[in-house]
Amino acid sequence: MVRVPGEPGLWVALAASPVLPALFLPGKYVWPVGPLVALAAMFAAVTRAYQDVALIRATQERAEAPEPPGPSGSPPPGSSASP
Amino acid sequence: MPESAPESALDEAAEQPRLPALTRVLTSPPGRVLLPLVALAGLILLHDRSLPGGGPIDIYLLGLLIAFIAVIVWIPRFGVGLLRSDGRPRLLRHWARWAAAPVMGLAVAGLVYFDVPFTARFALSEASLERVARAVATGSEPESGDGWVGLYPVTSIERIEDGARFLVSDTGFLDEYGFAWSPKGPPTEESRTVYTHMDGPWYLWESRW
Repeated sequence: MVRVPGEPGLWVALAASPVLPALFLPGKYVWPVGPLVALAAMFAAVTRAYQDVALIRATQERAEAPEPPGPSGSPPPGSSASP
Repeated sequence: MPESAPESALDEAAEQPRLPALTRVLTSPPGRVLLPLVALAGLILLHDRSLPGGGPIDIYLLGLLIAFIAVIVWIPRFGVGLLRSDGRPRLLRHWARWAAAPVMGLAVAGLVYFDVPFTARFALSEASLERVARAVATGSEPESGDGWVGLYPVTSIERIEDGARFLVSDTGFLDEYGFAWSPKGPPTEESRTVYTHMDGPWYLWESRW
């Protein structure tokens, strides 16, 4: 899935932004557009927040994962190479 | 019983203290902010619809604004949670918190649609209103000043022909509303005054601006 740009806070601010023109513009312009802009921006904010959580989780899992085994043929630590 | 892996993974990640607060809120089920706001909007709208002609317009608009914000916030949070594989287990786990807001909204819409707030408030106040109306109609001097009769804040009580009328405070936008008690038929209409029959001897009194 495409990663949503920006930060969740930016999208929440965009969702709240129709309130400002609503104070000055006639309702026939604001009502159809304002709720749609707010809904779309909130969808973007929530999607980006979920993506951030998933990214943080993946980073954590990589950091906590055990070291991958060395190249084949190398002896495991603590073992003797001689028979 | 152990939780499923995606559920516990997202829960753990969502509860990490290093997550920004907004991210944590947006990926969590509705809680201490959204649900009380929905309840507040519902109470404001129910209170408004319980008064004749509606309550103060500014409070009513505040209730509508809160309800609008709640809808704009709830729908995307629920929708994205439903669409994402890492969100669906949490919707199921916290289903009661997700269902609370729409249930409250539907309950308020149903009560308003069937005019329950107005009917219930009037029914609970009718005995008190009638007692005062009978007293005023038989010659008692009505109390002056603001006060409560039943569950209604009343601005004035006046004697009318064969009855009495109450003006309820903070009602309507420009017009004012109240009740008239007139057991011998509709009260005589004056200029800028309209009476609408409700039930029995009771009429809705509208004093036009």
